[in-house]
Amino acid sequence: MSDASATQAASSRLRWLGAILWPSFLTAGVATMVFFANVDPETLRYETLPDWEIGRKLGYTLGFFMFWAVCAASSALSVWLFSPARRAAKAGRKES
Amino acid sequence: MSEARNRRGRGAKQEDAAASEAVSMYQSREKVYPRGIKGRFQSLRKFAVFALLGLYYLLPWVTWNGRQAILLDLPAREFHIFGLTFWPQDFFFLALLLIICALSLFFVTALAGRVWCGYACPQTVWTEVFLWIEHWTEGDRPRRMKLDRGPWNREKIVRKFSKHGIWILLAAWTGFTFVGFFTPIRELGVRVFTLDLGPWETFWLIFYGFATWGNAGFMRENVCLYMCPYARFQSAMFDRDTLIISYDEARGEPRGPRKRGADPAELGLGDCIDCTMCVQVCPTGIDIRDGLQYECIACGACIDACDQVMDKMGYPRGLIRYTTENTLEGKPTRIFRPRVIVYSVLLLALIAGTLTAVAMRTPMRVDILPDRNALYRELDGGRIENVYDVKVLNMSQQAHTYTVSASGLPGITADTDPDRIEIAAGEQRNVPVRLRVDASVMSTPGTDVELTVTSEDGTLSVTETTRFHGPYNRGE
Repeated sequence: MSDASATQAASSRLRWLGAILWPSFLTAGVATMVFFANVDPETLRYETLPDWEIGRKLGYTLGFFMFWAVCAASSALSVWLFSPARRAAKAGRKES
Repeated sequence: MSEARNRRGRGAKQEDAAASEAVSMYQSREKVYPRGIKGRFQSLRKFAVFALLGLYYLLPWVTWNGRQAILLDLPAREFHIFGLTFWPQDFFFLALLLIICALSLFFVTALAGRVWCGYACPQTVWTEVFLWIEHWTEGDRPRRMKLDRGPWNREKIVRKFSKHGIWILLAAWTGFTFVGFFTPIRELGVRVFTLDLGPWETFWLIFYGFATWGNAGFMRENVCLYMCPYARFQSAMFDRDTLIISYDEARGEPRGPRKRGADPAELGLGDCIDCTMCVQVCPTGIDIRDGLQYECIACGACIDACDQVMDKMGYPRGLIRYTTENTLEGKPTRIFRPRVIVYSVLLLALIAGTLTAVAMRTPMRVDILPDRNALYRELDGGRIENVYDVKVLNMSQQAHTYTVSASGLPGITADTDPDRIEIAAGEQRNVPVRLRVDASVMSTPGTDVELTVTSEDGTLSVTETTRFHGPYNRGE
C-alpha cells in the first residue's frame, strides 16, 4: 500500500468512527439530560439494585455512557447497513 | 435562479458527492493557515471574544446572596441561578429555555445569516483565541507555513513548545472553569492546589480541557465542516433577504492583477485585483468569490481584507460585503417578511410565557405514594382508612410549616404525625398521611380524592389527586 492510500484509509476509518461516535454523543447528552431530570439515580438504584453502592455522580456517568453505547450501536448499524448497499449500487452501475 | 443560489446548489452537489464517497474516502484537507487581519469586523469579533469569554471565566466567581451566583449542583439536584433555585421538577423551564434559544437562533439566522457562527459560537471564539496565541508564538501566516515546512531546529522546538504551553494552560483553566459551574469554584481552586480533587472533578477538568485544546487548536474549521449540525441546516432559514457575506461579481469580474493607478476600464478588468487576500484570511480556507458556501462562518475577515485592498487601490469599499441576494440583484430588501414575523411572534410569546411561569411558580411540590402493603384498612365503627406516603418539597428560600387537608368524599379527614409539618428551605420530608371516611359514603370501591398541602401563612398551597380505596360494596 502506498503512503497516500494508507493515509487515506486511516483517515476514512477515522471519519467512519466519527460518524458513529459524534452523533451518538450528542443524542446521548440530550437523552441523559431528559432522563435524569425526571429520574433521580438514587431512587432508581434503591428501587432496582438496593445492594449496590452507586452515588448520584456515578449514576449520572453510568447513565450517560449507557445512552452513548446504545446510540452508538444504532449509528454503527446505520453506517454498516448503508455501506454495502452503496457498493452494490456502484457495482450495478459498472455492469450496465 | 440567482447566481448565489446556483452556487449554493453547486455546493450542495459537491457535498452530496463527498457524502457518497464518505464510506470509502474523504478528501484529506490541507491545513488552513489564516492570515491575521485588522478591520471593522475583526474588532467586533475581538469584542465578542472578550465579552463572551469574560462572562465564561468570571461568572463562576460571582457571589449572590452569599452563594455562588451560578451553581449547577448536580449531586444535590439543585440549580442555583442568581436568586432562583431550580429543581428537577422544573425541567419544563429548562426545556422552554432551550426552545427559546433555538428559536432565537432561527430568528437571527433568518435576519442576519450566520452571525452566531462568526461571533458567538464557542468553537469560533476559542479558536480565535488559540489563533492569537499561535500568532504570538509562531508569527504570521508565511512564517507559520515556513516553520511547519522547516526542520525541527531549536527555533521550531522553542516556538512550538511555547505555543502548546500557553494553549494547554488556557485549556486547563477552561476545564477548571467548566467544573466550577458544577461545584463551588473557590473550594475547587483550593483543592486543585492541594491535589485533593474528586475523581469526577479530575475527569471533567481534563476532559473539557482536552476538548478545548483539540477543538480550538487542531480541529478548528473541521468541527464546523464535519461535526456541526447547525452548519448543515442553517441554509433552511435563509431567504433572499437574509444578510450574507457576498462578493459583488458584477463589479469585480473579470478579475486580474494590475498596476496601482491603472484604469481598469481600459484594461477590460473589474475591481477584483485577484490578490487572494480574502482567501488567505479565511479561517475555513474557502474562496468567497465562488459564491455562498456552507463552509462560510460569516466572520467577515474577507470583508476587512478586501476593504483594505480597495482603500489602497483607491476603489470604493464593499467589493466583498454584508448584503442580501435581493440587494445584489438591485431589488429592494425587506426586513419584515412572514418568516421573520412568525419567528418574532413565537419568540415573544414564549419569552413572556416563561417569565410569567417563573414568576408565578409555586415554590413547593407534593408527591403522593399510596401505601403498597394494604389498599385499605377497616376500622372500628365502620370507618375506612387509607395510608399514603406524601413527599413535600419546600422549594422556597425560607422555612415553612405545612398542614394537610383532604376533600372529595363527605366527612373525609386527614391526619398526619405531627400535625404541623416543618420543612427548612430547600428540604424535602416524607409525611405519612392517614385518610379516613365512613364506609357508608363510598358507593364504589375506589374514588378520587384531593389532598391539599397548605403553608401555615396561607401563601403556598398545592392540591394533588389520588385514589381512595374501600371494600367492594357487600351491603347489596
